[in-house]
Formats: sequence, C-alpha cells, structure tokens
Amino acid sequence: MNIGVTLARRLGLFAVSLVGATLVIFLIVQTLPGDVAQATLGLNATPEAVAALREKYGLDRPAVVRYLAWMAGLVHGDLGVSYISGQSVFSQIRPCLAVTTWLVVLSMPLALLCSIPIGLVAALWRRRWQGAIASGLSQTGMAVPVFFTGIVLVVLFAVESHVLPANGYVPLTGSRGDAGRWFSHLLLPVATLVIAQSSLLARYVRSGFIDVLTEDYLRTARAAGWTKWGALIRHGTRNAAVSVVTVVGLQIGAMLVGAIIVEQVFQLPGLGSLLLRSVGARDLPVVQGITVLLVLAVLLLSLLVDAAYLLIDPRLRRGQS
Amino acid sequence: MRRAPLVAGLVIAAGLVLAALVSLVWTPYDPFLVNGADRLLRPSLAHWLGTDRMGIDLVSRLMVGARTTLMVGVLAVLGAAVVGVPLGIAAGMRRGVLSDVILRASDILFALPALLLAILLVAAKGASVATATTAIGIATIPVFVRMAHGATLSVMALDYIDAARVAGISAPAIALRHVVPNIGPILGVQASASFSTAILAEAGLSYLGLAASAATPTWGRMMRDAQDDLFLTPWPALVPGLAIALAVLGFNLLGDGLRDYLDPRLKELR
Amino acid sequence: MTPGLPPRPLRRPLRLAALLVTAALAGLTACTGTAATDPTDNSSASGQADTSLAVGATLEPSTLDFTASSEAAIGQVLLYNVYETLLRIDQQGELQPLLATGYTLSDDRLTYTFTLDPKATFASGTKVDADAVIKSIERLKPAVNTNVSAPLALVAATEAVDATTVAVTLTHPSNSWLYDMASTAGIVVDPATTDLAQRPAGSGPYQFSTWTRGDQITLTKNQSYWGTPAGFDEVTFRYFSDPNAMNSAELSGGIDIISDLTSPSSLSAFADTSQYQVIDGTTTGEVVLGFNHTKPALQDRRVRQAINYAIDRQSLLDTVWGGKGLLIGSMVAPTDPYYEDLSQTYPYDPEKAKALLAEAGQENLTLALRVPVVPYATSAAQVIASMLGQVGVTVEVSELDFGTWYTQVFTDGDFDMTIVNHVETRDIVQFANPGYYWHYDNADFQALIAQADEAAPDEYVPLMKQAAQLLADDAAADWLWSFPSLTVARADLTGIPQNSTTTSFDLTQIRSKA
Repeated sequence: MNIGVTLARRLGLFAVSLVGATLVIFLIVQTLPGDVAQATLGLNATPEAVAALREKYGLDRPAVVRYLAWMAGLVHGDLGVSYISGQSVFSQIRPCLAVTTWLVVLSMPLALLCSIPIGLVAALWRRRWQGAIASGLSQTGMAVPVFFTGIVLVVLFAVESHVLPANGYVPLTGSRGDAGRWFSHLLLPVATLVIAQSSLLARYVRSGFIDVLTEDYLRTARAAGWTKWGALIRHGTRNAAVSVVTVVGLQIGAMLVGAIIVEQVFQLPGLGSLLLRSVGARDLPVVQGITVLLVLAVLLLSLLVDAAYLLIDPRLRRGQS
Repeated sequence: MRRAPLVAGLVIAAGLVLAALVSLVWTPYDPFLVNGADRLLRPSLAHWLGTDRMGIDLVSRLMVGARTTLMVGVLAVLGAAVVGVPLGIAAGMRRGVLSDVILRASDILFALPALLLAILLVAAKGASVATATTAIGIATIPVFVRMAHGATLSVMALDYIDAARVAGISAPAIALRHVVPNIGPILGVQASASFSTAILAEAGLSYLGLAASAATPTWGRMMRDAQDDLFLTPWPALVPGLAIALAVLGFNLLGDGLRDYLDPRLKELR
Repeated sequence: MTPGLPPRPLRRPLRLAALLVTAALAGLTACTGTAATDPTDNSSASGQADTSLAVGATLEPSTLDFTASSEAAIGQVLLYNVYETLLRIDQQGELQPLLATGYTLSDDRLTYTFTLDPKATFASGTKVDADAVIKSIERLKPAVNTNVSAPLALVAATEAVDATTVAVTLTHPSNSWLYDMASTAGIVVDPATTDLAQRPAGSGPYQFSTWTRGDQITLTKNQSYWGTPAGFDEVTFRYFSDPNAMNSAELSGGIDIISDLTSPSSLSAFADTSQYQVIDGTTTGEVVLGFNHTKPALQDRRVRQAINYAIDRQSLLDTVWGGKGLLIGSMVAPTDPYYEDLSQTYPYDPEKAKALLAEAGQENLTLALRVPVVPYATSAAQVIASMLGQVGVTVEVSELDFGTWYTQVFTDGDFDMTIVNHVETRDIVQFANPGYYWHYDNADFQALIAQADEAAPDEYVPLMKQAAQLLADDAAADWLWSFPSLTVARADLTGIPQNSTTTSFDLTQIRSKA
C-alpha cells in the first residue's frame, strides 16, 4: 500500500533531478574554451571564416537563449543537431549506444554470475586457504587498472595467438552485420569488464554472506533443524541480494563510464569514444546529448534499484512508511 | 591471522608514504633530467628498476610519482569528506526538505560519474593534477554523503541521543559530541576504500590522457607514457602498474582490516 | 549465444588458456564456432581472392566535405583516390600529369593553359572536359576552407578553349599557385554531385562507399576507371585513437597497413621482414617550437638563438621519435624544391646558450610551454624542459586539449612557447603573416616571400632559399624536426607511398603480390 506512495515520490524527485542535471550539464559544457568553428577550420583559418562559421552554428547567441532552445528540444525528445555531421544528435548516438549497451548488458550478468561463487567461497571459508584464495583473487582483480587487464588480454589472445581480433567492432545487424564476428569482437572487452566488475562485486557478496553468518536468526534456524546450506540459501541469498542490488545499481553508472576506458582499449565505437571525440571537436550538442542520456540512465537505474529494494526486503518496505 | 590484512595494509601504506616523503629530499637520480643515452635500460645495480623512455631512473620516477599519486588520493578523499560528511550528517539529523535536497543533489552528482566530470573539466582547464583531483574529489562527495547519512540515522536512533535532546543540547553540539565520534570509524573505513578508488580513477584518467602532465608524474601517467614501448620492453609500464596495484591492494586491505577490527560482531565470531 | 553458427576449421592452433577463457565466457559449446573464426577482418590470406585492404589511420575526419574543413584526414582518404586534380604532386614533390597531360604558361606568367586527357571520365561516366573543370573551380571558390579558397581567389578568369583545353588567368603571377592546384584546391568535382559531405564523387580509381562514424570509411573500386585500374575491390580506412591499439591490430592481422605510425618506438615489433615492411619517408610536416614574438624576452634574438643552441635536437629526436625524421633548421620540408639542410645553424652548445642569455640579461628566465596533448608534443616538451633547465631557463609545461589550445594559444596568444607539427604544404609563408599566432613580424622576410611568389619560375627557388635562411638566422622559431612518414605494411604489398608530399594516402599504386 505504501509502495505506491513511495514510488510516486521517487518519481517526482527523479524528474526534478533530471532538470537540475540538464542545467549543470549545460553550464559545464558551454563554458568549455574553444569552439567547433576553430577546431574545424584548423591552423590556416582566417578570423573572418571562423566568425562566419560561429554564426552559422548559432554560437553567437546568448547562453540563456541556447539553453532554452535546447530544453525546448529535449521536452520534445529532440537532442538537437550535431555541428559537425549536420545529422541529428540522436541518430549519431544510436549506433554508439548499441555498442555500449551490448558491453554492459553482456558483462553485468556475467560479472554477477562469477562474483557469487567467489564471494560465497570467500565468506564460508574465510579463515581457511580456500577463502584466502577467493579473497585474494577478488582483491587482485580490483587492484589492477582495467586498461591494463585489457592490454594484457589483447597481447595474449590477439597479438600472440591470433585467436581473437585485437580490437574494432562489427555490428550485429544491418548492412555490415555479422553475428559471429560481432561476438568475437566483443569477447575480450566483455571479459575485461567482467574481471574488473566481478572482483568488486565478490567483495559485497562476501560481506553480505558474512553478515548473515553472524546474525542470530541463522543460528536459530540451524537450531530449528535447518541444515547449514538450507539456512544459508534461504536467508543468505536474500540478504546478500540486498547489498548486491545496491552495488549493482551504483556500479552500472560506473560501468557505463568504465566502458569508456574499455572502448578506448578495444577501439569500440561506443558512447565513450563518441563523447571523447565530440569534446575534442567541441561538438557541444553531441556532448550534451550523451551526458543527458547517461544521467537519465543512471537516474532511471537508481529508481529501479529503489523499487527492487522494496520488493526484496519487506523490512525496508515498512521502514519507508 | 585476524589482523593480517590490517597489518599488511598498514605496512604497504606506510611504505608508500615513506617513499613519497623521502622523494622530497632525496631520489637516487634526478627524476626530471632527461638522459638520452640511458633510455629503456633493464633493471641493474645502477638502476634497480631500469629506466624509462626518457632515460630517467624508474626508482626515482616512482618515488616522485608516489608523491603526486598519494597527493591526488589524499586531497580528493579529504576534500570529498570535508564537503560530504557534514552534508550527510545534516541530512541524517534533520529529516524533511533539507534532507531531500541534499540527498537528491548528491544523487545527481552520483549520476555524473568521475570520468564524465573529468573529461569536461580537463577540456575546460587542461590536463593537470589539479583538475584530476577536483574531478575525482567531486565524484567522491556523494559516497561520503550517503555513508554519513546512513551512519547518522543509526546513531540518532540510540537512546542517549534522545536524552541529550531532552536535556536541551543543540543540534550542532550533538553532532560534534555524539554523532561524529560514533561514525568516525566507519568513515575511516570508507576513506581508505575511496582512496583506492581514487588511485584507480587517476590511472584511468591518465590512460585517457586526462590527468597529470609529465612535469608532475603520477603512476598512471607513467604507465601511459610507457605504453608505446610495450612491445620493446614491458618494464617501464609494469613498474608503475605494479605500484598502483600494490597501493590499491594496500588501502583496500587497510579498509577491510579496520572494519573487521572495529566491528564487534566479527570479533565475537572469531 | 550465437546458436546455429556452423563450426569452422581452426586456422591456427589455439592456445589452451585462450580456449578455456573463451569457452568459459561464452558458455562452452555455443561459442566454439565464433572462437574459431578467422580474426582477420579481410579475407586476404586466402590467395587469389585478395580484393580488400584495411588501412589503419589515426585521425578520423569530422566531415568529408573538403570545402568545409581543412582537416588533413579528408585528403588522406579522398585525394588522388576518389578525387583527382589537373596535376598531381609525386613522391619527390614534383608535379606530374593527372587529368591534364600538360600545361603551358603565358609570357606574362598570368595564364595557365591545361590540356586535358581525352580519356578522363568521372566515376559516374561523365567526361572530365573543360566545362567540368571550370564548373569545379567556380564551385570551390567560396569554400570555407582557406586552403581551397585562397589559391582560387587568385583566379581572375577561366576559359574553355575547346573541350579538352582550359585556360586559367590569375590576378597576379604566383609560383605557389600551381602546387596548390595539384593538391586539395585543385580537385575536380563531378558536377553531378550535390552533397560533398555525403556523396563525394570524382574521377579517381576508387569511389566513396560508406562511412561508419567513429569507426571506418570504405571505398570501392571504380570499375570504369579511365586509367590504370585500382588494385583492390574494397579499401577500408579504420580509425584508431590509440596508437597501441593500431599496432595490435596490425600484429594480429586486423589491418594490412598502418598508414601513419605515431609510436616510432614500437617499430621493433614489426622487425620480421617476412611478415612486415616498414617504410620510412618524409612528410610536409615541420615540428615547430614556436615562440610568441610579442613577449619582450622572446623579441630578443639572442634569447631565441640561445634556446636553439640549448636544445640538442638529435638527442631530442632519438628520445622522442625513435630517431625517425630529419633535422631541418627552417620551415621547409625535405621534398620542397627550395629545401636546404639548415640544421647546423645552431649546433648544440649549452655554453654558448648560457653566454647569449647572460648577454641578453636573461639569466633567470621562466617560460610557459603550452602544448596540445599529442604524443610528439608532450614528449618533446618534457625533453625541452629538461634541456633548457640545463642552461638556467625554467620551463613550465602545460598540456592542453587541442580545443583549449586553439583558444589559449592560437587565438588569445597566452603562451611563451608551444610545439605543433605544421603539416600544410609550403607553410613557410605563415611567418610572413604577423597576425598568425607566433606574431613574427619581419618586414624583410615579408618582402622576400612576396617577391618570390611573383618572381619568374627560375628565380623562385633561390629567393625562397634566401627566405628560409633568413628565418633560421633570425631564430624565428626552433624547428625541431621534419615529421617522418612511417608506414607499416604486410610484406606482400607493393606500391606503398613512401613520402607524404600531400595530405593523400595514395592508394593508387598499391597492389598485392599474392
């Protein structure tokens, strides 16, 4: 009964947050020094040619006017037009979004899948060698910078053994689409992300289970005749799930952005590459568009995480009312 | 055994701090003097870890790098804590509009992750230690807001806080006398973990060319500079890479160790 | 995850570890088909069906419309490959016939008369006749890109003498005009194409096919090319923002050619001559340590000379660019007709540098070196800071994003020194423009450049040599090195261009031996 109210309140806050975010983004992006006109025209450009191009892009209008124009477009779902390609920002983002989405969608569940056994082993045998190894794995995985893992994988699987392509991307569908090559091109980037993310998640799985192991009700459950595993599975998974869902929610934001580094290592034409390129070229509409989409995604996900919370943990449900 | 992580973490952290401090007064070689004749030397007695592409001794460079790397981490985490913790405590002590505004603002900040901020900041201000620190620091604020908020909520539920309130003690006084000491340990744990994250974030930013310049090298920057020579010799990339991994490991262990040490439930269990 | 894919035979023995990780990741059976897929993107290894070529490149153009942007990356793909010019510049920097079989110059040096090759046709089938050439010139005249519009602004009149003869009259004699017309400014565009950004169309052996932004541009063979047919059915330019990734792609067979290697120290990875060839040539780029001539300290010629003496350029080049490239000593590329080796004007002499600085009263000089974040500039800055430190000059290095560099350095002039590779052809003339970001203002030099351009062709070269010498003597900048053209290619490819005398990566001669 209270879930509805709580969710409605969250939704309202979500909308307010989004508007606030657009303002922040606009302010940051528009104060970038340099502009697209100079970046396009290069070292031999005359000041007149630069001025003419600035006028063409509407860069000579006051910032307030530009912000309102942008917001008006956003309300209609129009992200604007790229200075550089002259195409709509959305059409520019869409193919890149697909690449990044695949990266995240493929690696997140795999990371979860890998992290649960590691975390469980680390929690159950935390004072024995099995646990030490599991913890050590997760600690090491966390400590190595993600690009370093990526480069090592490239050297091992592409440069040395020619098993997989070193980098690049082939779309799944479309005129250049090829499912097999799409898959082989994504394997190493996904593996890189999975290694980094599962190490981190394993830590939370571990502490989630340790918390349960130390809680009284597990002892009670065992006293009541439950086997150790039965009690663990019944209470442990639920408890661990709460903290893991939180972390996954927090992590997806980090992951989208962590994907930027992976995209760079593997030269994938994803959102991160587009963002870096557009900032470099001062293609501000594209920069703003990507940033808004990222913020929207992160806010949406945290909304979902909140909802998932309420469903998983009845205690929180009561706490919210 | 129980304190092994804590001890290991402390040793590593102390070692890094020591290396950074010593670098202020002494390094084996000049860490900025380019020496074309000694490029990419393998480890030897003269150069324990070899030299980089500029012919600079890697031990010296590593020590100076420790200085900037630790500085980025310390300043970013300290800055984030100084801003985030009071906000979190305030949000935890006074529920209502204030709390909502603080938490939402923190969420927006969270939605603009460090890398995004850094890309924009660096484009605006140029790549430097200062911009990287600022970006990482700002991105870390919400972590402290959330942590302090949650911890404060549980402290506020304690009976003696009610007693203090009834006794007419002001909110800031309660915050200082009761809340801060209570949530201190958990914030220490968080600071240690955030410190690791900051070091990794800096390495990531450096890889993308968004952090320190060669004049103020960090380990991340050293790795990036060494990347092109990877096929020639892996040393100059491996050395700072291992330093980063060691530092991150050390501060994670320190954080874990602290938490285990401070958590009474785990004490009982063991 | 990709069920239904038939397993293909393994091309190479799989490493056990690779197989295990691959399999574990993909859920065992479903992926074996994929893991065994040939990772090379082109089917080139399979003998006679060698019809595609993948070329790695560093900078992706932001548009394909060469009239809208001066980016060299546009010419890299399109010039000579898709678009042709009346004359072209060859590997040695000499003019060669292309659409025109030859030209004559009138006695007043104002009118060029070009004879067109009667066979020449656009890929669309239309004849490249005098009318098409004139239409193209008129069309390109208002270009935003000043590299195109500036030379065309000299054109006073054009005339179609007959179907294959065009006469172009200039407003005043210009020796550089013909060279400009052999490059981007002289492109002859198919009159039928309306959108140069979406559908570039010319008369070259390749045609533009598709562009996946952020990834690659594909050209296909022009089946009805009027000259020697192209060597490949398809050529793909793949873009790499990370030099290391481009090396990995070449080493793993993902691409066939690295067209512009930007990490010379990685060349050792391609030492196996049975698999790779490394082609070391020149470009028109000069890596310039530019001075801001509005700063009092740098207005003193002794200070500029001291900096030149204090920098050991050979050691710098060895350290920063693996010794690849040439020491030049002035703003002239080795393939320019007026090139002279001026690299010994200021031999490395730190004592002399100190003496000159003392003479100028600048013993405690501090200079801000603001460089864009590009590999050659950031590395060179580190070395220069160290070398100048040895003679008592404190150098504060800052690394700027190129966009910020344009504002801070190029437009606002907020710098003492900067490092940029100037790639435009014959850009020595920029020193004659006091408004340009160095603000070098030397009346003698300006007069010399103007005189040279209008002089008789046989006087042009001596006058330009004089101008280059003047720049060097005046230490107007420190020319660090001439940027090399480093190309890595599969060993069985022939006809790879050695020198980059224009922005083009010339595909027209490339063939596969197999």
